[in-house]
Amino acid sequence: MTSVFRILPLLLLACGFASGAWAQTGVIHGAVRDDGGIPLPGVNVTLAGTTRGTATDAEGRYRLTRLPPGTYTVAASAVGFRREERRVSLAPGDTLTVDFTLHEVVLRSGEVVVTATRRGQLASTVPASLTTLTPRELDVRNVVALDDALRFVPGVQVQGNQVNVRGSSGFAYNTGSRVLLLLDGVPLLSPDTDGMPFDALPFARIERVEVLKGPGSALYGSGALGGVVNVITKPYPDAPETSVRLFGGIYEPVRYAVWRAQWDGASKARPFGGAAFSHARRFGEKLGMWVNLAYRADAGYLHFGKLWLFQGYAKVGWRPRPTLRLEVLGGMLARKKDNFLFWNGGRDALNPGNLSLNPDASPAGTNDAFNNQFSLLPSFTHLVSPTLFYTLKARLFAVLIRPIDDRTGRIKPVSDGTLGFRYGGEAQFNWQPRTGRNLTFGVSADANATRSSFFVTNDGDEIGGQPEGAVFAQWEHAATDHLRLVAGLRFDGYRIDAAETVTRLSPKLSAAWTLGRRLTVRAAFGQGFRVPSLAERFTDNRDFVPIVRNLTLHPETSTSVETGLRALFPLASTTGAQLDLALFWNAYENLIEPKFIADRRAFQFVNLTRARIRGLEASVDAGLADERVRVRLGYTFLDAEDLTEHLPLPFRPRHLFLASFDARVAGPVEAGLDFRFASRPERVDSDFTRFVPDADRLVDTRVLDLRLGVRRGGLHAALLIKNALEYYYLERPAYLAPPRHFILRLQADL
Amino acid sequence: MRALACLLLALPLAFGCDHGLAPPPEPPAGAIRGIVVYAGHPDAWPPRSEVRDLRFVAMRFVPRDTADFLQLNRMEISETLRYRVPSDTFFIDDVAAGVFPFSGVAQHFSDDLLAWRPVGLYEENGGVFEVRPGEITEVSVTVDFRNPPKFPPD
Repeated sequence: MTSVFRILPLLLLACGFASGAWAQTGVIHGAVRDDGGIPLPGVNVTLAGTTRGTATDAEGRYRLTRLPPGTYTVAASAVGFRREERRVSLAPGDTLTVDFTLHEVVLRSGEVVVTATRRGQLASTVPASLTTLTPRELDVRNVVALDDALRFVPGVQVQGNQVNVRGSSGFAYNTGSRVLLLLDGVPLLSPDTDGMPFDALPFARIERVEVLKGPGSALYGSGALGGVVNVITKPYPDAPETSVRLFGGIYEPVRYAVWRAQWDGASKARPFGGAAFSHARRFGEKLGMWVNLAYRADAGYLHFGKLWLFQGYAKVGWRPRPTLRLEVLGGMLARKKDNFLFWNGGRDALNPGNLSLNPDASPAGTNDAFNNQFSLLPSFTHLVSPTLFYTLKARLFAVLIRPIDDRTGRIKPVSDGTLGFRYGGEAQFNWQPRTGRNLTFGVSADANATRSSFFVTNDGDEIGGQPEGAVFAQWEHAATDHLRLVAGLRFDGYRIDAAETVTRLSPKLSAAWTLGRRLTVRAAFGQGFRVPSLAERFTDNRDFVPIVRNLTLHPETSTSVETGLRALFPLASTTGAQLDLALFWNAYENLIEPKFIADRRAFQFVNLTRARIRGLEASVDAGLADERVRVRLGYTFLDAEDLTEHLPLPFRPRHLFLASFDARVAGPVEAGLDFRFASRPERVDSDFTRFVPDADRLVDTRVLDLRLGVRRGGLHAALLIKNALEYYYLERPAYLAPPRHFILRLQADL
Repeated sequence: MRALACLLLALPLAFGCDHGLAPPPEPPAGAIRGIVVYAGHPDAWPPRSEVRDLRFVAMRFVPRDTADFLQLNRMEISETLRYRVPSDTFFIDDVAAGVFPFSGVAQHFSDDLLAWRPVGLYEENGGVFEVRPGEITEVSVTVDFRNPPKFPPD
């Protein structure tokens, strides 16, 4: 009977009676959201007792068409949620709207993530280690830059501008991130150094930050050597939203007279502050937009540590038909920043060091610049059928860096700095031939054109480029109701300054086995790689630290094996705990490091190190006391060995620990704390200690942050005390981390 | 619940008993006073363009290569010595006490940050001298631009 219903419309269409015949059928459509009103993609919506069914799209919407008149039971179900049913009667020509709100079975089990497989899927079924940060977590910590957020992810450490996922990175002299940054799924590493633009993100409009731990090159290509950070922006709200945030604070003067004596500024409280504005709304059903403006100024707690920045981001979405969506995300940043590179020693920790025998020379421990960044990320999605959609994305990321003259304070022309463009696009197709089977495949092409006074390329000119192309595919197969298998493969080709082509094949295999409703066991294998940045390959300059280019650099590679489990423990009817355990083993080849080349009297980036990092990670996320209390704990053990020298891998701690506690204390009053611990790195790079005074002076990281707030209606006021124990530690070797500082934060959500 | 809260509060307090990084204690200090004599003055002097800077440098280690001129935290450096004079003197105060096995006058011969070379070494006592707390150590160096010492040393 069902097959007749499927074939009948086609037969009628062929006979020229389509419109008249379709009027005899009906449509059921609607949206599926969670308790908080968040759309849920990938939810199965079926008509009980029939074989008709579909899955919700990325915005939680579904549509069942050509239904014969009758009475139906519409059911919505997803792993981690209580199944919901509605009984409806459909008359000929009817279009019924049936919306669902699904309630989580246990805390956070219904979280939807996209980074692990390039499509929406429940976090509890992802066969990979993945942690999500919510907007609330960013808000309560007054996060104004991405590194502030990532410090609170288990297994992640931030060292300068390097994000270190399970020891993947260490301190890499500010070049070449070994973790890929995505904004709404689009790669966003700077064209010159492949660094992460921590400041250039719309923080007031972030829906969530997903951190994938382990290589991700099988889906995302170069850069995803140790992990992937995906910043996902919020959708357009049904009702207009306006938010204004103001914050201000001071760094407390440092405790030690020796440090204060070396710099007058250290004896006074150093101010910082900022403001952010965001507005989001829809214009009817088809058009939506948001805008996010932010300003920040920071006197800095280090001599030559000032910052000033302004940024603006906007996103516009147009949905001319329910199956078509066009979105454009654009942004700009202007920033003036003193880059404090390393200190002048343990007794002079607040001043930058010098690499010149002439003490009157400009400190080489700073590098001040005026920086502009522009990004433009359009995307187009077409839902061809309930089982097939494709997305076309383009990207442009431009960077303009102009150094600041140390003596006059003036901004130098761009000819003395860097102008870089990274641009490209991709097409991705998602096809679900049958329930439980998904094919994701696509092509990607990017180019990178950078002109820098610091670069000397093969041709001897200042323009470097690395055009790249890739094809990728991933097959997900639900072998049984409990076993999900994923296999993926990506082929990348890079052309380096028209001189050499590098190709990489990156496979991945993973499996998730759901035992009952509360336990998922996973295993994963994957490979990653990172093509050397233009800065590592072509920098040839003696203005600061003398560096010569290296045209023979090879890509870094990684191989990862991981097994883990995710368990959900209901603690009460609406709350519960989530436990995640992982054992991992990662091998790295050809890691790039700067090395001093004596006969050239300069440093050079070289493929130097083979390494192995193995360890375990455990995290707990628990809601207690009827959701009034939330506790998160994370512990990571790292055994990181440099296989080239058979020594501990430099800059890696052995133990990482995180604890967060948030509670609604009484009425509108809420309080929380974060505690971070990282054991002292066992080893520092020998060349670094050779040239940077006291670079081997290291301590554990033990940082306690406290917060107390009042939330009433749309108003939120909070006092934050960061590094409340006034514990002095190092952000990275020879770089003192912020001392105790106080922040007052006011936010109005209108 | 309360037990968990107490544990969470106690944890950072237990870990946070010390205050982390502290400046190292000030080492006892002495001083270095020296005299530099230029052999073959004035004919032996290179042109000014090749003498960008000239300083007495006392190293707490024996250098391996030119890059060791970047180990500023392990050396003591005088003010710039005068150009084209038969002899000169220098005084370096507030020198952390210790042993200096390799010292002499270094010439900065081009714009390159690392374009330094020794042009005369302290040679008494096998080239080694010691600065003692509260004492002034006297050194003398002869510079011969025409016959600079071998660098790096054997």
